[in-house]
Amino acid sequence: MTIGGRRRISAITALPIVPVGAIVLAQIPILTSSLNEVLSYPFTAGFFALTWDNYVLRTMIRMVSAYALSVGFALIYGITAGISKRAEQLMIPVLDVLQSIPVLGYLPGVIVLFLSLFRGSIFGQELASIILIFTGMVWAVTFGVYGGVKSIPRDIIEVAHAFGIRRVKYLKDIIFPAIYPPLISGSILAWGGGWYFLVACEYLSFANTVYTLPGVGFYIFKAALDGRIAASIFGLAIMVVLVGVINRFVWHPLMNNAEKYRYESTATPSHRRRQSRLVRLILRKLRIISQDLAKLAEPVLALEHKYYPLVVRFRHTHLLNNIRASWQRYSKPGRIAGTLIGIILVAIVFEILVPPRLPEVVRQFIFRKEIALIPGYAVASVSRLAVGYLIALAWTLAAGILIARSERLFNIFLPIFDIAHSVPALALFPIVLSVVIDYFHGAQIGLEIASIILVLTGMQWYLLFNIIGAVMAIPSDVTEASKCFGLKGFKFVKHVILPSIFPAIILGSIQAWGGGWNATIASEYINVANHTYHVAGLGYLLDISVAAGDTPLVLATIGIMAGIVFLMNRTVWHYSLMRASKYRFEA
Amino acid sequence: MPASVLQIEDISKTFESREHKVKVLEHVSFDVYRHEFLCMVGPSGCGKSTLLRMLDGLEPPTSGCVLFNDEPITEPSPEISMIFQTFALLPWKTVLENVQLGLEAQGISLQERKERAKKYTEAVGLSGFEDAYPRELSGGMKQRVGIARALAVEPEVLLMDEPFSSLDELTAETLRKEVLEIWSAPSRVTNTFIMVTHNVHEAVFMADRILVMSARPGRIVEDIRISLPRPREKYGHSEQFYSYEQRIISRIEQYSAPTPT
Repeated sequence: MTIGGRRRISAITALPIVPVGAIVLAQIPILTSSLNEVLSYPFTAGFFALTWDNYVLRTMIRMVSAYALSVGFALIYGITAGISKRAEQLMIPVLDVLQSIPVLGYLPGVIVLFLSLFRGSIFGQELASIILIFTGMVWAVTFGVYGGVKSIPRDIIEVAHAFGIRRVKYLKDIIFPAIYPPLISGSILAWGGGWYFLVACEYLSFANTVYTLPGVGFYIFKAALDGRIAASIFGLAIMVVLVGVINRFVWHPLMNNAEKYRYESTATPSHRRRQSRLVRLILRKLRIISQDLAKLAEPVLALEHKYYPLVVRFRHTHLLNNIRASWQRYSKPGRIAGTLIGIILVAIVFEILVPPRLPEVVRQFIFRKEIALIPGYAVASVSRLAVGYLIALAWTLAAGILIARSERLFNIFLPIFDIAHSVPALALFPIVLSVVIDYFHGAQIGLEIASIILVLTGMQWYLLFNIIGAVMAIPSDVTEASKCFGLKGFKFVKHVILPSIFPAIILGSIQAWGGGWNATIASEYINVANHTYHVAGLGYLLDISVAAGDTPLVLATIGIMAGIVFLMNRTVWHYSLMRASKYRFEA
Repeated sequence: MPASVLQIEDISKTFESREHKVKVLEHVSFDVYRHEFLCMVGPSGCGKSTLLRMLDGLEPPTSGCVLFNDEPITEPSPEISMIFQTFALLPWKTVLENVQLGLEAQGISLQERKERAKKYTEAVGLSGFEDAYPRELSGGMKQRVGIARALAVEPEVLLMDEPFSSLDELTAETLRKEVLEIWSAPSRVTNTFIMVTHNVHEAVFMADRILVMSARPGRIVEDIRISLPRPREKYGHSEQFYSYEQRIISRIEQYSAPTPT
């Protein structure tokens, strides 16, 4: 790599500079006034003079602590689940359920626990914030570690046994090297998630109290809430720089270093493309992560398929068939008698075992008016997510295929997207909201649109990056064969590209819906400049119940939300994933 | 002199990335004649696969040109078809659907597509496996699908990129004979075969003519006509077969040290 080569700006990259430059020049008066606004904002002044480094430092300490906790948890949990067949059967489904709970779903529990433990001190608040960030990071890392252990080839395990490598030495020489690459992939995803929720984790509101923790995320959100948009964007810029620096100096070197621990090389460099070092690096990252994700899906699916077929293969449920078969062996009076006995047994158990007070509490709870709202709210949230998902899928499919097929577009857009996806969209909500509401003159439809936009930002990157990674991973022999046989344009997309990327679309969709649910909570309810806006949905319900400290309602809402996520994963997505295995190229 | 189908005129190829330029082919010229079985052998990385891709229009030469029936080749055409080392089958399509790939691109009607695909699936001995998926087939059967797919478009020229090198030796041996049978069958439309290989024995066994290439940048260092009578099974251990092999191997060794670019 010559320095001259890096500095050379090709004509095509220079082209957009002219109009962009003109627009920028035209904005100078606005910019200077914005700058004035940033500097005169009392909050910023303090930000610069006293606490600039402290804000960044505090945020970094929170992120690093949460990450360290995540790695510790992941190593213990992931390795245990990966090694022990018996533990795996329980641990992986549990992990799957915990993962389905949106980050803010953990908020009430965490706050109550840590504030009571530390009597409301700052230390308690800090710990609560760290634990919340942890709940956003830990699942990707843990699944990475588990997948790494599961990916150790059988012959390597046999070699280890044959040469008497055991216990600590086995851990050190076999397990750790195997989990290193997927651990790094998982960590990159985890940090992305961490940044996304940082804003929410530094501005906690529970039981009519707001706990603020000084940091970059807090700054961005506070400024946006105060209507100081320029200051908020300034904070965002600092965060993006921070994300970029950490990627450049931590994750990219670690990722390159991890490559030598792989049993088979995954990302083959496409040496014929003219790409800058940066583009190649981002591309490698996409490929590695998407391939690790695909590999990870296999053991989890196999496990579910084996031990929990009921939910996955709802069409051929052996258990139900067995019950029906044994049921039909009895005569009709026998069946009726059996049913009656069953009902009586259940009633007795209910009467004896359930403490008398509980049904009363449950009844009171069930007949609350909020509970009746849940089904409608669930439908509203799911519809909003579905709309966001369809929009995201449409644009990312078109853009992903176009970009991956064109060297020029690829070189221009990949670095842009890599930066764009690290912008925490949650922080943008107040800004988006004020713009959209202005446009629609405060109509409810404006709020609805702002909410869908935010959900979209929480979903789209997962899809886009999975799609680009998959298009780039189509074996060159296959694309050549298609070209050789004259498959072009739409036919090529239909017969080769779409089927090839189908598994990646499903994996991306699972992540996208996870991200979408998290965004829902933040996007359905907000208080800007003493004015609350909300749209009907589970996120809104969770927000108000959390704010009011209404624990039963919080639990009910989280339960429903996690239930929907879990069911969708187990039915729609995992079923599609199993069908998708047909679309994988053989190694 | 028989008519030439392909004329390769002074081709050079340089791959350029931001950091370096790699010259893979240098001043390559030769003709391919109708009804010929031509092999290209050379050390790995000598650009023989790149050369093959230029004959199909998949890769443009940096300089020079390829003429097919006196017309320059600029993009893949149904007249020239190819078999790949890794088979390059689409895993989500059945055998019959894979064979139809090229016909589909040509916009041939479904009815005719199916009939032709059936005919060629049968011709390569895969009757009964029409609805199987590639993953259910052995390596040899997969390559048969590759061959049927290439023949189904009824091309004039068939290109083969190390077609037997990912198969076990017994399977490869059988397939070689079958490919030769297809080539020598008088009724076939497809009668000019060009194969890239690094297996010298295979080349001598199959080819009318062998082009020996040097290490990168690839040049043609020898053009040998193999005048052994066919079928050649019984000559496999003959003095003459051995001397052809020795001659080619010593040529490859002589030119295998990469020359500085």
